[in-house]
Amino acid sequence: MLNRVILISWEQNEGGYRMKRSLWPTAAALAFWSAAGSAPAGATVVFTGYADQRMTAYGMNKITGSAAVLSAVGVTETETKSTGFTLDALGFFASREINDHLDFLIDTTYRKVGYTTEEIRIQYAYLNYEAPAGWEVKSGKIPMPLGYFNENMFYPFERQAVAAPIFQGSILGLPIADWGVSVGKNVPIGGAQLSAVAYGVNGYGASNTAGTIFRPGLGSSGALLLGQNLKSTNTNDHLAGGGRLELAAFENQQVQIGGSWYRGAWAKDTSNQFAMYNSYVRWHPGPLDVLVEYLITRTDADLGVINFYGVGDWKSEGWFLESSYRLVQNSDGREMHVFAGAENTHAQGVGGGSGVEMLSNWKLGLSYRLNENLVFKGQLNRLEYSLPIQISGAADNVGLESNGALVGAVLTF
Amino acid sequence: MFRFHPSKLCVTAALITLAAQCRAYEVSIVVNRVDAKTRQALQRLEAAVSSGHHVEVFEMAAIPFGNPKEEGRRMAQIAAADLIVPVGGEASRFVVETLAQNKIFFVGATIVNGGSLESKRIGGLFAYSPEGWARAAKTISGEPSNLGLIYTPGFRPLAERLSLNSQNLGLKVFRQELRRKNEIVPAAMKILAQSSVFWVAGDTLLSGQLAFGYLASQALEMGIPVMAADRSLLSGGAFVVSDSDLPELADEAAPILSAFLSNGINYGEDRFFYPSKMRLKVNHKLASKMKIELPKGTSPVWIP
Repeated sequence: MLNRVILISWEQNEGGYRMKRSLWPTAAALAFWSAAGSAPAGATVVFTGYADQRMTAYGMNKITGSAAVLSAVGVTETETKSTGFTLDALGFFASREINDHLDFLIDTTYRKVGYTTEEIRIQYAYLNYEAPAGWEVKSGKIPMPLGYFNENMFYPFERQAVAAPIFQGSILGLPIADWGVSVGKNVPIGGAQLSAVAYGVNGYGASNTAGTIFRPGLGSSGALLLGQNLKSTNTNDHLAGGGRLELAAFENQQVQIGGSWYRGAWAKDTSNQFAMYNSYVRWHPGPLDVLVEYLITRTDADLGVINFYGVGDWKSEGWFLESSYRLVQNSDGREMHVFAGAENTHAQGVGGGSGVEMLSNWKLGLSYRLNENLVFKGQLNRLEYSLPIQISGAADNVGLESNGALVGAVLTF
Repeated sequence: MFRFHPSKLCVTAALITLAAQCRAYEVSIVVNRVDAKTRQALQRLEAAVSSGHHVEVFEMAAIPFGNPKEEGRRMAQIAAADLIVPVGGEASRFVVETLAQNKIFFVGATIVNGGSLESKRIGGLFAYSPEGWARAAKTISGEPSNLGLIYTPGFRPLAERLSLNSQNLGLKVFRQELRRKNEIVPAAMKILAQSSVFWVAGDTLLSGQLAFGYLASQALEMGIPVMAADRSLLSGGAFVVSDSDLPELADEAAPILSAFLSNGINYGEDRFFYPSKMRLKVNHKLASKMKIELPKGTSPVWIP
């Protein structure tokens, strides 16, 4: 390319060669680039990564319900047991600092790896601009500043527990990241820091099932889940947006209290909105680490849930707790934590209908960090879930009970 | 109308090259942890580097190892510079191993990846010198004075110079170059059978815990003292190890680094430099056990 530019830059003229006038800007830029060296010669992309291997040492799933509701969803009352290994995620982070204020960050993660890889996710890919006055601008596929867990504890090497909270992790689909721009500002206030961030993104759209369905029903691809609704293009002429306000204790940031929200049209009809409101407290005094998040979602005119709640307008309300306590910390990097977590979310129709969807989960376990690159984890968990199904104008619930013992190994490199 | 003859391109190119050589460079200095000694070393290096160049200091202790998301960001900040200057043994080992695609000038390297040393982008000042090792070998070898060397291709320049210096002091030198792990055992057997003192190069391949443990145990079984690159190997069976003073090394590195920057951060013929004064630490327990007499005043630091 450079040769081509030089070749076409000169044309023969009497007494010598003359540079084409139209190429002066290119030549000037090249000369400036050569002389000033705007890109450092040694600038490189740095790759790091992680692997999250899990073993289900014991798994038991039991489906329960009345004959009528089981028949309606096409299942029988069954109890299944499972055991096995899985590579939950294999991720690679690429980081490139473009200049003192600007860097480009990307996370490519492989999921469901077997003979083939079923999912390759670009979990985030954005330009990050940090200005001296505490301003921060992100542009690209950005982790949405919703709550605390999504941005700070999603990765297995950032938390002690094996698995993330189920409602956020599986139903909303962590990490919640979308294409757009966010602008943030950090302001020191006395001994604390106030952080504010606002963003505009494509937002959640309709499911892959139909343009009128937000939450896919049973039998559809990605049934009940919303993670795939975050798409690379916007489905209407309204951007979704939101923000977060956080107050953090300045010294070691031991306490963080925040509130965040999201709102956007999910369908072509922009009056059909999906909104999330979140508040959280993280308290991290010494060896103890506690995070509590509270989340409300509200969805308009979703034909996907009519079979559940009897109406299309629905809301969910729930909380989760993630806590850990450091039992051992050695100078050579070895650490042991005990952790516990719980969550409870219920969802139901708004303005009529009947039936309540309920998710309740708890977990308890130990994690052992052997060195900076390897952590072993073990977790016991119990999930109770029930989903209402409309039968002859009334709701009957199909239930799922799940008990499990998980072992995980997280390798970072 | 602007007219320009192609012959003038040469002049333009030369001017651009000159501009590149005179331009301000971004320099990342990496240290393990900022303590009193490191601070002194940093002051001396920064004084040499900072005139006309932009210097940023990074502490390895502040890199969140174990969190690849944040670790990558921090490493990218270090790697964004035109030149990375790791200061001290641990920082040199870390930077040479993980950022070998960058231009690196290390200060006080002890153990580093020998494969990376083959790259023409990497050079710097070691914490030890071939002259110092040769004098130390002469002192502890006894009779016959046979020095065995085991090293990798990256350490060849150092090993060759050590051989030459040792031969000048009347030592017989037996050396073996190797590239792979599976060559360590036969190479060690061959060299140890002929040696009265044994020098192990500071390559991570040879001076890693497992490999060095094996080499030292074999040597000790045969009553041969081992000279090793880093003080961490003292507990692994080394008889004498390099134990240089970081501010002293910084004093010696500063003019070399300054000249290197003035030369457009291009290494010339020599990429590796050695301090004029070398400090060693001796395992005195081992010395009395092996009945090796050292010159007076060798405790706690021996300057051979």
